[in-house]
Amino acid sequence: MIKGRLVGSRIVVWDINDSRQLYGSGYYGKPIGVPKPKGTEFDAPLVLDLMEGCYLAEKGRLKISQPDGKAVTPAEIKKICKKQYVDFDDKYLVFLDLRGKGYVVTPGIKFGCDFAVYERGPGIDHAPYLVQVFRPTDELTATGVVLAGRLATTVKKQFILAIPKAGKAVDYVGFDWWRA
Amino acid sequence: MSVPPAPEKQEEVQAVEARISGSRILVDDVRVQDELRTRGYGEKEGDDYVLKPYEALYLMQAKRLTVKGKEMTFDSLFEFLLKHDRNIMTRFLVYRDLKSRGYVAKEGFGFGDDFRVYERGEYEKKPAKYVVFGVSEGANVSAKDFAGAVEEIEKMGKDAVVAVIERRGEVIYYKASRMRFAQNKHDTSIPGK
Repeated sequence: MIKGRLVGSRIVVWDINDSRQLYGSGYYGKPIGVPKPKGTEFDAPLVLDLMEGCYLAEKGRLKISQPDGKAVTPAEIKKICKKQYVDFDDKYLVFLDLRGKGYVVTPGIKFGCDFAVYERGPGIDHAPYLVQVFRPTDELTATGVVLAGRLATTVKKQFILAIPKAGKAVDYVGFDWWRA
Repeated sequence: MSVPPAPEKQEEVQAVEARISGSRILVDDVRVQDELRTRGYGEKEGDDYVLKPYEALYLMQAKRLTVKGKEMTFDSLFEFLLKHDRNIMTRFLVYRDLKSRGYVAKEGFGFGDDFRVYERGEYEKKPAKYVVFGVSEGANVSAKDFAGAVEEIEKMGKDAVVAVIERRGEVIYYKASRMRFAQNKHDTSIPGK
């Protein structure tokens, strides 16, 4: 199993071969200091975000430990995630749904949303789907809709609301410019 | 929606004389009723022919509506209608914008401040193609209800359109559609060397 070290709110995979393997199996993590990796030919440790780490740990692909070597169980990672993310459970449900269906799910912060989702992979798809998670009771405001539409038009890709509903299913609603 | 906004070329209705009864706006003249009906204004309700508040406001603004026995202006009609419908401004702004783009818009299905909207030139020929609903500051809808509404609209075979009204009345439209993320058919693994 691949080993990862919990460093603050990130998980580092120090072993280069493990890093390449993990990155190469669906674009998990990001090699340190390599903004646009070409394939898996990088010589850098891999940084995973907590959500990816939690997912991989639960899947039994990643064994996480503290800097002092103490093991961190998947349940403990999840607990840390809940502290670090707002509405972690809802976001994680969407992450699970999309990763489970074989999509590459990366943090969407640089686009101003929760996830940037790729069909082939970052750098290969011309643009990701931008996904924002809404809890069922969250209110859809005028500002929210305009922001969504603005994003979709600038990135030229659909902006999608993901609304987790009962039974782990997720409703997705896409927004497109409508030329009236 | 590739057709550019058409100018309001269709001959508009001539002078309409209306009568206020309670909170309703009625038109008594049968010939005027017919003319209104073919242009997509108003509806028969029992023995009465009733204009919706936003229709009355639109016709009033176009200087085609007068109210029997009253010196009514757009302002006074608006003030009057506001007492019965708090959301009249949102509804009117969306309605007015759709009309100015050459659409026929009729009362919606109750998803909120919604209209059923006919593709240009299709009114009375085909069912409404769109359901347009207004979202303005203060009148929000929950994400769950919104997704539910989009689903229902699509089940009716129509497109859901969200109309956002900015603070000064400009309307921005977005098409909302349910997405299905099927199993990804692409391979996301990176071939090693």
